[in-house]
Parts: sequence; structure tokens; C-alpha cells
Amino acid sequence: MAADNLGKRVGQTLRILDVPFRIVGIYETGVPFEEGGGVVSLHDAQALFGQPHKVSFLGIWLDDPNQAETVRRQIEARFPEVAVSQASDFADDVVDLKLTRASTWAIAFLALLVGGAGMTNTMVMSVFERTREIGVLRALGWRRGRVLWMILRESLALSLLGGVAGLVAGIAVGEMLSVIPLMTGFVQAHFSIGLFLQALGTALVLGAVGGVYPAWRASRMRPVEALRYE
Amino acid sequence: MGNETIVETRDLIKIYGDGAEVRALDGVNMRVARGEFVSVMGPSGSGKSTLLNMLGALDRPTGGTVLVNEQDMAGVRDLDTFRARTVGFIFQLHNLIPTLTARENVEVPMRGQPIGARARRSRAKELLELVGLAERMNHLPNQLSGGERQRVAIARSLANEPAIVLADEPTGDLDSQSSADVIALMHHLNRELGTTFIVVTHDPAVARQTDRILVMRDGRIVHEHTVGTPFEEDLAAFRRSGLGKAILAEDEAALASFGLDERAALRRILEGVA
Repeated sequence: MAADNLGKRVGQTLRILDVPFRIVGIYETGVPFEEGGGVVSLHDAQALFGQPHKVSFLGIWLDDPNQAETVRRQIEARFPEVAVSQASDFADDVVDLKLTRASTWAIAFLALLVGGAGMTNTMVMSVFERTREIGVLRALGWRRGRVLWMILRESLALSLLGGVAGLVAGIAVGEMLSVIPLMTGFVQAHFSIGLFLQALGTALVLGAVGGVYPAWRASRMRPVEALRYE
Repeated sequence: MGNETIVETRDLIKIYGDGAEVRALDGVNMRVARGEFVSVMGPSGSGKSTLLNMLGALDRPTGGTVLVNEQDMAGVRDLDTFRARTVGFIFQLHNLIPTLTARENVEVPMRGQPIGARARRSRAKELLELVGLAERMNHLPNQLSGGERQRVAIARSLANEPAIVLADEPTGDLDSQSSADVIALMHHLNRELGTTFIVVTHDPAVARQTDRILVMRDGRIVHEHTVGTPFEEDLAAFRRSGLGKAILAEDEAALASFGLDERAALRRILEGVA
């Protein structure tokens, strides 16, 4: 990624902090953070940053990631002057990741708002168009609660259908993005049952919230007025 | 048809509007016996539909009393159950749910009542057979003719075996043949099941097929007429006519004004009756 961005190829020269380096290879790891940088020898890095015989951090690769917390405590106990973090802690501290996360939440919130408003609008129109029908149901002895539940159930069914459609579309788009060359590495879709359940649950909640007002309005209609509606 | 009163109103009043008041009902007194087939006639704005709304608990009166099946409507708290179990409705525009089949439409009043799904389906089927639509029960309303839709509506009105069926212009949207079929069906059901029917209509031909006609004007019942056989009806009409009155009164001068003597006048009447 860095090579593409800088327009460099193997054999060419790259100046880092005004020090020329010859490019001897280009690597791909699939991790945007890594592909956006480069690798030099430890000796060259120490000279480049004026830190002879020093390292800024050591990366420890564990055979069993579940031991991460145990290993961290052991290192901190043995080397109190060393700050030990897990990769996930590091990710949390990185500002651009925080910004990305905040943006994602903002977009998700907007999507929920628009989705909820859309649901309410759809159900209000549906109730409006069926005013006479609702009047007939009430005239035939249907209770307010039954009418309310009928509208709410429709709202939930619609939102569930929308949630499933959204899931399918999301999976399709995620898979598409991961095969587009420029996007590969930037976006890696990761799906899980928990994510699907969360998405469907959100859709249902939106359906319930969006359908409550129209359902209430339908149940409050006076039969004699609703029957006169044309 | 018995003498037991199933519907009664006493000084029934309904006023609409706060500013310019409209007295839709202005002291209506009526009685309908169990098993009767009664029609309510009158011009537009006479209060016919308002009266029906009061009897069917679709609206509350401003004053007076409504008794249905010996229940004072003022004391009924659960109007939904009352409408479901005591009253059946037939509307002018059938008002079937367009996305439900004929059978499902007939089941609608039974939903929410203590009746299982199987019993509900069986009852709907039985009612559709009664109205002659057994073979159309899985059709949607848009696949039925106007007359058939109204017959489904009639079946629906009987779903919970109501004490009374209220029909508001049931033939208003139908051609003459369908109208005749629908009224004949209602007549048949009235005789067969003993259900009391109260029909609002502006069509004298429909009204003449009922047992009794209540004529309304300006929110009041101004005339009641027990319907006789067609012969009796024709004779009554001639009796009320100018010629008939002249003969009964032996008014030679009036007869002369028609250019007829008594014999010629009688012949005219008999030829008309025959």
C-alpha cells in the first residue's frame, strides 16, 4: 500500500528523514496499518532515530493468545519500568481508530434514526389508508387492543423483513468490497451469529418503536367516524 | 315472530355540533319485536343512519334511552363485546377486507371471541353455505360480484349469532337484480333463523319486502306502516288515491271531475289491481 501511494518499486530509492534507503522488496500482510509502513533493519532504525542500542517496543507473539493477560502480569512483575499492553489495548489508544469508531457510531445512529422515521411514516400512511377498514373492524367488535396489536405486528413483520434484506445486502456488499483490489486490506468483513442477531434485534426494536404511534392512533379511532371516511 | 320487544328507544335524541347544532334525532320512539324484519325509510338527513348507529352502539345518544335485548345501552361499559355478540352489521359498501378470502372475512367478527380456530372455520363455512356461496369461500372480494360480496357481508353479520342485524342501505350499491336477491336472502334468513333485521333504505321496493316500515323525517318517526300482501298494498294505494277517496266518500262531484261515473271508476281500479 505504501509502495502504491508513494509510487515506488523494488530497486528505487526512498528517503526517510533525509536518509536514502534502497527498496529491496515490497510486502503484503493484509493489515492496512502494516502495509502503510515499511521495514528496515534494527541497526538502521536505531541510527535513523538516534536511539543506539535501544528499542521502543518489543512485540511478543504468544502460541496461546489466552495466556496474554498472564504473560503481561509476569513481565510487569519482573520489569516494573516496562509498560506492557495487549494488542487490543493498543488499538484502543490509537486516535485514528477512535475517530473511525466514532464515525461508525455516528453513521449507525443516523441510519437508526432514518430507519425508525421511515418505519413510522410507512405505518402512519398504512393506517391512514385503512381508516375505513379499521372502522369496520371496530364496528364488528374488535377491541382497541386487538387493533393496536394488529398494526404493531405488521410493523414488526415489515421491520424483520427489512432486517433480513439488510443483512443479505450487507453481506453481499462486504464480500464485494473485500475482492476489490483497492479496498482489499482496508475493509475486511467479519460476520458472526452474534452480529446477525444484533442486526435483527435492532430492526425489530425499530419496528416496535416506529409502529407504536400509528398503532395507538389506529386503536383510538372512533368507529362511527372511521366508517364515514372515504 | 313473537311479541317480545328486542329493540326500544324512548325519546332518543342526538345532537351534533357545538356551535350550529344539528338535531339528527329529535325524540325517536320505536319498538321492534324479536324476529321482525323492519325497514326505516326517509329522505337524506332524516336521521336513519344516525338511528342505526345508536342501536348498534357505534355512537352515544345525547338524550333518551336505547334498549337492546333488554339492556339499557347507557349502562353497557363494554361496547366492543356488545357489538361483537349482540349486533351484526351490514354496510352499504359491503366493507369486506380486500386481502382476506370470503371465509376469512366471515371469520373476522369471531376473532377475539372465545371460539377455537377450527370451530370458527366451520361456522364460517356453514354461514357461506347458508347464503349460497359455499363454492366461493376461498375467493377474494375482488373475485366476487357486487351481490356476492354483499352476501358475504350478510354471512359475516351472522357470525356471532347476534340478536339483531342492522343493515345500512345494503342494496344501495347494487343493480336491481342483485338488490332483489340480497333482500330475498335477508328475508329468508329472518324467517329461517328468527334473527331480527332492521334495514335502512331509501328504496320503497326494498321497504315493501319487510314486515313494517318506519318513515323518518327531520329526526323523528312520522309514520309507521305494516306491510301487507302486494294485493293489499295496491288496494291501500288506491284507497289513498283521489279516485279511491271519491268512491269511498260517494262524492259524485269529485267523480265527475275525473270524467267518470262510479262504475267506470271501479272498473279502472279493478283493471289496475288485476
